[in-house]
Amino acid sequence: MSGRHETSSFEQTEALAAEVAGTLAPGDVVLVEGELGAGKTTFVRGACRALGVDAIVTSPTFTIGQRYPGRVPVSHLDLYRVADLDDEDPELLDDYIAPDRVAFVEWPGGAVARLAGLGRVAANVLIEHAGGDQRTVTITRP
Amino acid sequence: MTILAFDTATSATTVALSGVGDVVFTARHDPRPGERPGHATRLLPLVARLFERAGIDWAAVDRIAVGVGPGTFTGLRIGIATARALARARSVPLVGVSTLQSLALARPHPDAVPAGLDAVLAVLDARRGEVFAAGWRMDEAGEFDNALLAPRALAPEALAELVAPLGPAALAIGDGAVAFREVLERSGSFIPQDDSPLHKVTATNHCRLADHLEGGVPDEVRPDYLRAPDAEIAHRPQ
Amino acid sequence: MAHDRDRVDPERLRVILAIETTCDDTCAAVVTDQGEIRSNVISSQGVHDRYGGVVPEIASRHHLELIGDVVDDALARADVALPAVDLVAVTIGPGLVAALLVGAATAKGLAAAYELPLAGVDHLHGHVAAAFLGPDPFEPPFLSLIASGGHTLLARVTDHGPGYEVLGQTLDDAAGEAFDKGARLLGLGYPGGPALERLAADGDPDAFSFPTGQRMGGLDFSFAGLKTALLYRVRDLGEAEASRRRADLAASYQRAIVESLAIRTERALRDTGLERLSIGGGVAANGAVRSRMSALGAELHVPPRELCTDNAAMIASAARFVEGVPYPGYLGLDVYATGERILVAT
Repeated sequence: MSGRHETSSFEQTEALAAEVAGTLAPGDVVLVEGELGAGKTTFVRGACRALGVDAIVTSPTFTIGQRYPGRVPVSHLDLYRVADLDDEDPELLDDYIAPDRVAFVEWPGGAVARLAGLGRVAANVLIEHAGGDQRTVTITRP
Repeated sequence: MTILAFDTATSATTVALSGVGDVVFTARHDPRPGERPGHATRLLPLVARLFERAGIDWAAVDRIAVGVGPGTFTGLRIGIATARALARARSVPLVGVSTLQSLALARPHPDAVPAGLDAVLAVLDARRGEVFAAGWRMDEAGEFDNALLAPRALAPEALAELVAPLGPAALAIGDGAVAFREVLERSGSFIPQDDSPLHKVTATNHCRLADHLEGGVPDEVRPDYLRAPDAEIAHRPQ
Repeated sequence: MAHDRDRVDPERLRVILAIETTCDDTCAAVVTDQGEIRSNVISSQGVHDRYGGVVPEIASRHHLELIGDVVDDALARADVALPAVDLVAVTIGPGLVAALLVGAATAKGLAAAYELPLAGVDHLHGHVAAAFLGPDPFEPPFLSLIASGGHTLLARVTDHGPGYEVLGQTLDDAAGEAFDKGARLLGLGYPGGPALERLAADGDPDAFSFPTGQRMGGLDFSFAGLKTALLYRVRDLGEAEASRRRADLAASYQRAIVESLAIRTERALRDTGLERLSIGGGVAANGAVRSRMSALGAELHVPPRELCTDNAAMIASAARFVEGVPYPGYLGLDVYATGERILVAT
């Protein structure tokens, strides 16, 4: 699962995400990085489906975090607006990163160290544009 | 004077009602391990329960006291927004009470602690490897008078270094003292056993403090974030 | 506890005090049960603009600083004293939890102090219910399009309550988010909507072709592909050329968002047979959206701008059609970020 993967449609990105999801356990945190429009939310949607989430998986930019009930409960975070977690309430993420759920974090940015302190970072996912619908998805597992 | 007091700075939700007869009515919620704090959902139901037990209603409250921290940002805001709204609505004075000072008011049973203690350190877990701490000198009656250590946020090791000169004369209490017991014990401080009630913030002490403090305009009671890395300053574009 | 209001003229209008702190606007309003707005106070925090979006910690801190004065102001302007209020209403979600909690704690405290009933209102029901406010309420049945920074949905509204039928919603980004993110790609400030609209005014909407999801059937929205298309276009043009043609890019991109909204709204009107349309949410304040929607052939209702963006009058309006909870049943009421309502025992 680790390594570089090429996808040429959002369906393929979702399918790859589903494979990653199959290796996750409650308490895991997955960091999803990539620039605007790379398909971070698409990746999380694919993983959510594989974890039994029926809800519509939308961008959490507005609410910072969304929680979806599923076979495994899933949290979906977007820290774009959280420039530095040190300035936020230490409890900001407590409702989202917990031992009983899997968490996906878009735009982890400067929060990586703090996130690692809250949960078990199971994978780093980097999605890059490769022209048109092509994406390069690099998965690193610690 | 009937005083309603509560504190939501720590994971606990604690409420107390004094001035109705001779007893202080109290109620609290402490989250179980892994459970999230219940500030938003427990605070007012606990207050309503106290009113029922005391047989009073909102019109009977003369003064409101609220813990202003330091503590978690969200917890403080829930407590203070609630207190301001109640005080404003009923036109009663609102008193802000230091959560650390209230914690330090704990009166240990003489059998539960060694003799010769003359300083108390209130230590709360500030997360991120830090504690909120403040210290006071106790007089013989167990009441404390002058401040030894002004409230601050710091690493437990730094606190241990600061209080080392007090040696075994210092009683350290609070969830921060429990969390960093080893570090603080090395400096000589006495820390009661983990399950001691001395470690818990209780609004009963807020009532005692509020009795002597000047009440003010609700909006002038503000959270004491203490660590106050003001997000606005830190985020300010270069 | 008996209150004087129990003995007053039963013909007297009921008065609702509402509080709204979903995002970065601190709002309070007083509205009668007939939908007459007695006051509608909105304090925009403004401080978020330089951070490129709403920072939760700052939003929450400012709500706490502002809410007391905003509520006092709303009551004073309406010439109503709190004990004379018949119902307190508050938004309980979806939104920023840390922000919602300040409004909810304040509303519960105010209501509890006089044992007033309280209604927890869904923010989206509020946007729909903005149409029900006077002086010329828009009455169901109608189709409602709500488009803002956090939401995009089409609903069939057959009565005033929260049970409107959601016909379509965004599958990825909200329409307002598409404006914000597009503005970011074009190097514009936050909030992106107004900045992009201003720039687009000088551009040619036909200069570039951006996807509108025309081929995507159904009534759901998708803006993620549009965002990516803009990114690629900016890259292909190169920095200098993209900068030179910024106005054309903005106009064409805005056109795609507007068309994307219009295509599905038109379909929904056709599918439902509804002939009346109400639009709301911050995106409804966009001039291009308003003029495009007025060309759909339906009877169009657009609330004034201050009732499109977040406000408490719409929350009061919705509260008229929600069961108020008598004291003390609401004391344990919680807030929620998304559709996942966290139910609590009191």
